[in-house]
Amino acid sequence: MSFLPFAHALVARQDLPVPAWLFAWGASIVLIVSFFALSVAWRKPRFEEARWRPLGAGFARGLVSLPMQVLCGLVGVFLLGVAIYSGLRGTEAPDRNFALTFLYVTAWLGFPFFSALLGDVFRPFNPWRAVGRVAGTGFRAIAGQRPAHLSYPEKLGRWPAAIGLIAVVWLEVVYGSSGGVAVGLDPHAAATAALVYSGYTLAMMALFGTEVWCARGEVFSVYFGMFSQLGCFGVEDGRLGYRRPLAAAAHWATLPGSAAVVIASIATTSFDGAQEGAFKDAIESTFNWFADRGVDLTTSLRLTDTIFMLLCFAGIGLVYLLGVRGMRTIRGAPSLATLRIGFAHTLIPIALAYLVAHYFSLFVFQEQAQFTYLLSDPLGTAHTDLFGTASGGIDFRLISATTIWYVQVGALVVGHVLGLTLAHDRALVYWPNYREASRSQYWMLAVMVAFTCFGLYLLSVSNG
Amino acid sequence: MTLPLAHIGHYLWVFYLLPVIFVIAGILKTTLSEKRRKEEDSDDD
Repeated sequence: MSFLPFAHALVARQDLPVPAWLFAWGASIVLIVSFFALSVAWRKPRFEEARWRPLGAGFARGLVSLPMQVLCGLVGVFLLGVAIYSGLRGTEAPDRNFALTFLYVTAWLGFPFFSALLGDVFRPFNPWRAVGRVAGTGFRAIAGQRPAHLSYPEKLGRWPAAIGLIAVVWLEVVYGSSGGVAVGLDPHAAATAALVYSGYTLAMMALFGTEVWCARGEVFSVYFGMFSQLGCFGVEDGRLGYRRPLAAAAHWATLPGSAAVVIASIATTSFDGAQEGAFKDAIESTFNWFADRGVDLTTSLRLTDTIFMLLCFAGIGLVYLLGVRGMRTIRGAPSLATLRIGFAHTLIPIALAYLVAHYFSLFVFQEQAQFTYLLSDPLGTAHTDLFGTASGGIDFRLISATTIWYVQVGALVVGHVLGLTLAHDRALVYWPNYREASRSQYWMLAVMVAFTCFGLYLLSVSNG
Repeated sequence: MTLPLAHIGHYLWVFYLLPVIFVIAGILKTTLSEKRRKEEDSDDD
């Protein structure tokens, strides 16, 4: 059996026909060509209406029926329970314990990928939503009235989810990697964090209402829901339907803090990619600066990593704001606040592209572990073999380093072209004259080229 | 003679920055020339 060192992303030197930086030039050319093609051929907004159409009666109704919702909710609660129990009672070896791979790979990476393709697949499986709904139904049955919730402060918007998103990644890549070993978070800490988060989420749902909190503050609902806006299936009025891909994203960012969520996603992924590569020297220097001043080593490392993660957030946010600021120079531009909110959704495909680029290999390899030995022996004690796959392993030859590189480049290029398309489409809403709309997107083109080159640079340094 | 390229790896980031600089330079050039043309048009009027 082969064991996977539980690193954040698998890296290996590829055998490329040209230097890696030439891919950044090629990707930039693709973006520039796409920009001009959009300017010429895309003259009316097409994503403002999702054009949702209900799917055929039987199967679609069955998928969103109450028994199916109950079943999915039970599956979600059961899997969360297994993850927490495995983390608390299982082995401390991260690669042998069900908890870490399930929470940080299968769920954290799997839901964004599938949500972007299909729509909000997390919503029915959300364990906290399921518990919240059951508690609400129970309260109504006993008290004979709806629970009285506090009204949610609308100014907060999705900021609790943005901060929570940074906290979830911080736990794994900063807190988890600060123990002096390169194995990430230990399963016990992950399970404890899941328990604390469950308590916090249920308390917030009791205060503000289950659906209100899921739409604004529940990290996983907001985060996975953000990617689901790219998908082609959605539920409206309790009916499953087909909608124009990407179109639902156009109205996602209207709540305050939405831009912070998508920027936090790009920033945390960037930091994870840069931690052992592009930022390595700077992180070491800052760490030494703290250590030289008597701060203990673990605190120095966590402090340094936290600073760099926040700097990534600030840097990505600043680049986005510069792009938005550039649009203000075009005649007839709406206010800066309108532009800032109006173009935030264009970063969603980029956030997804960064996720695919940085974690595709980890996902492919670690899911082999998830569906073989981790499923059969969740505690990692070598005493159980539930499905007869406990002796399974990971086939590292499944994809080569070169294939991984091409997937990474492809993901970044496609993600940024989709981002450009969404931005161009939104510009046509603010500037009905397509020439001015195209002119307004010059700076967004620069933003997209900057994010593409930055992403490829991070990958090339990590892989090199 | 051996070229002193031992540390070139430290400066590879420049190659990733160049496309961004080219695009920004192109935007600035286009924006300025459009501005100049508009000013000339308004002077003609």
